[in-house]
Amino acid sequence: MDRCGASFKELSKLNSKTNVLECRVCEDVFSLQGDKVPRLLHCGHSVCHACLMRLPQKDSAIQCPFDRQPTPVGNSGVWGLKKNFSLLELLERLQHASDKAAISFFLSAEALEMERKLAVCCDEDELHVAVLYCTVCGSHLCEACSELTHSTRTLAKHRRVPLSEKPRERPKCPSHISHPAEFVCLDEECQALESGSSRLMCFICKDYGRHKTHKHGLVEVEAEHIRSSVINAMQHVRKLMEEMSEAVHRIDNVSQRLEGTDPVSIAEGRPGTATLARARVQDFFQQLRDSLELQEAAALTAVDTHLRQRLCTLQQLQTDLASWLSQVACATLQCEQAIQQDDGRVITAAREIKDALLSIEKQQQQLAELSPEQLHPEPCIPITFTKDNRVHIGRKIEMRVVFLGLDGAGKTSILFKLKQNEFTAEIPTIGFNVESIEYKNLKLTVWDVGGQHKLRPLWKHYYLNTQAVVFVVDSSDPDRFPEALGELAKLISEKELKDASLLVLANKQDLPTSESIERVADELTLNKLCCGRSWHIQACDAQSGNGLHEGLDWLSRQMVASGVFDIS
Amino acid sequence: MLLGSLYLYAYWFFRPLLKWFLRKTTKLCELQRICYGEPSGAPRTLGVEFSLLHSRVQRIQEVIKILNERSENLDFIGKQTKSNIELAVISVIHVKKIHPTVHNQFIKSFGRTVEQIWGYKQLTFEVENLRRISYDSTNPGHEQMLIGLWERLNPNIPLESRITKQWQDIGFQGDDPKTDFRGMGLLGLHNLYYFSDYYQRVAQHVLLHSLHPVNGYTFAIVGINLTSLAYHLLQDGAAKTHMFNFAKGSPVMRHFHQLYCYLFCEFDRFWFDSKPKTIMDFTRIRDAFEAYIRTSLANPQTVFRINALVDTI
Repeated sequence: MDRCGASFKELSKLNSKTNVLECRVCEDVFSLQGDKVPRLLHCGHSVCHACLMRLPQKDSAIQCPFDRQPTPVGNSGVWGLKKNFSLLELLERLQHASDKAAISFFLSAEALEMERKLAVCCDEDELHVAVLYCTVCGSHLCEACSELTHSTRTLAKHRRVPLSEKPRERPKCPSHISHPAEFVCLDEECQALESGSSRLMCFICKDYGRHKTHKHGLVEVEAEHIRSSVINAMQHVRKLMEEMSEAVHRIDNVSQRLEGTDPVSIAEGRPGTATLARARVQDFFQQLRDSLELQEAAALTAVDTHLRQRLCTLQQLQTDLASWLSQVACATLQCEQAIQQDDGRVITAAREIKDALLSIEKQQQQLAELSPEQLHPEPCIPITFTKDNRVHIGRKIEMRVVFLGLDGAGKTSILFKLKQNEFTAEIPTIGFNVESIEYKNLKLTVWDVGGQHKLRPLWKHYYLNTQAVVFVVDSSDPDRFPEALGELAKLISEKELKDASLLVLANKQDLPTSESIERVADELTLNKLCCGRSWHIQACDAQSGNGLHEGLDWLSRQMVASGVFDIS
Repeated sequence: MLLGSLYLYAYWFFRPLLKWFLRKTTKLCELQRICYGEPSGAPRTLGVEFSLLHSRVQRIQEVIKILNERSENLDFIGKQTKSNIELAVISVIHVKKIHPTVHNQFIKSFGRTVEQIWGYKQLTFEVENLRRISYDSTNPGHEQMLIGLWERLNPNIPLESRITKQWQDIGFQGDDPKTDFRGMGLLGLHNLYYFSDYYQRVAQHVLLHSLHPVNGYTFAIVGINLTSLAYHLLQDGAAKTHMFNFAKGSPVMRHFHQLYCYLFCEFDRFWFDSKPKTIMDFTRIRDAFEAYIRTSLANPQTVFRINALVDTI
């Protein structure tokens, strides 16, 4: 690219001499033929053909734009004026010189490569690649053939240009090959035809041929139209390309930032975002591992402590039993020895024997006082893991649950259904009921607090250390859903309950008038209200007990680590 | 413990022997001995009931079965009562070969105990039936009674509408009392109504107590809880002592209502004596109150009478 630009600069420097010869009206360079041919006026000034055409004619004469002297023109108009031949000759000479310079430039320049890339064969020898075009012969030539064919004096004058600057050929009319196609048909029918060449026409076609009645335009104008539209489009395209490259750049930037290979990051010694993310993940899992290790250590300590206590009590029991055994054995021996003796001695020893028997009886009593667990200890250590990875040693995990809800929702009925598996229509609870319910490996301490208006402000006294709230809703009473929602919203905002699980029991599903749990969940806006806490809604009815155990199952899953649900 | 059960076992083993021995020495059957020996009221009636229920004589067992059925069908009314008693008396005289003219006194007192025993049984069925009727807001009778309850408790304040916050002023849970009657049904309403109707001034006084800003309680639903207590006392037979001492003849609904009124007044006193911190102490105090009542009822002399002094405090 750079080389090309340089070569064009040099070229324009060469051309600067010819540029001196320009029309002083339009300041365009005169050309050897066409619109820019210089024509001589009577006053001696030269003006290009195109400018003369534009000058107004007065009494079939045109005024010189410089000194206002009239130059009469004949019927042929401007065309009748003489060309300024001396100027043309000068022009030709200058151009020739520049061409030579150009050629010599091209001959020596690496830009030859560029020409070769066009891959046009030399007309003299098909094996050669053409780099030049002779404007006079109209042939493509390589440097060697150019020298060879144009060595004669006459031919040496031929203007040869680099292949890339080959002048555009004037199109020929497809119907009349001898005539140049000067016009383009603008008729829609012809435009619709696939081959563009059929639209070209010469004046014959225009006036008499197949395009006789068709609208037409000048080839140059039309071509220019197309060119300008292309240029326009190109501008557009340039913008598009800029945008694209910008996007590419941005993407590149981002990917570099991701990998940390962009200059800013390197300069600041900052790692890429990928590395950062990876580090965060590692950090998180490291913390997790650390806390797990701590938890494991705590759990192991708990087990160890438990074990030590167990062993200690067992040893204590063992020593006790051993000492009792020896005492009993001793007493027995004493008695046996005593009765072996003669009657008199036996009677004197009666008191001692009685004491010994008493002591045996005492030991027996002590043995009887031991609980069956103490007498038949089991070697197992029942372990359950809670959800927060603590270890619980013992048969049951204890859980504190509060039953809340509006009055008449069925809290007490549910409680007693769970407790005694029998349904009784309850009387209004004043104050609270507390019951402990065993379910699977859970031991629930349930506080059932009355739901009447006056008691609701007192609910908060039951929140402390509560692991779960069971909110009971009467699903057969839609009129009171808003009231229930209000109470539930108050519960949710309580600080002491922020870690508590929430189980909503849609009670009284056995009644025909009851609403579905979807409706209940909707009315209580549970999805919105309980966002970010563990909650569950369960359909149930206290009468048959349906759904209650499912609810408890859910509660126990909130407590016990998953996977270790049932202790073996 | 062991001694106690051993004693009971021995008692049941030797009871027929003991009865035979006493029969021979006193020339009186067990029922006669009870009727002559025990004072009228709970001691005598409970004794007779115990003796009858443990009788091994087939005839008597049959009679008991018939009387049970009749009481369940609520047949102990008016003339029916008389024929029922006669059936029992004649059967016993026949079985035990008692001379009717000699033991005229026995026949009289035995008849009364029979009336009381099955009257009580009938009352439990009546009460149970009333409890099973749930409050129906479309039934004008129920509605009238509810409105009447308000009028008796608050004669000077008109009720704004059927469903109103005012109900909470007399201690219902919500705006519509009907949901509060769920467990005790109409029985709760009848109890409250009787209390406010028969002992209007006492009821108003108790209501006033219950409105104490700190130590107060909710009058109506405490009332329903007390209905539940009275109901259970009646059903498990603990109330027999009071009923047999209190009712001259067969215990009827009125007697049950009066037991309820007594419990209410007594609970009011008990509540304030216990100095509750909040209403949350209710369960504890209620349990203590029940234990206190049951201990009182364990004494066969017990008879609850409403302390008329409450009225003038």
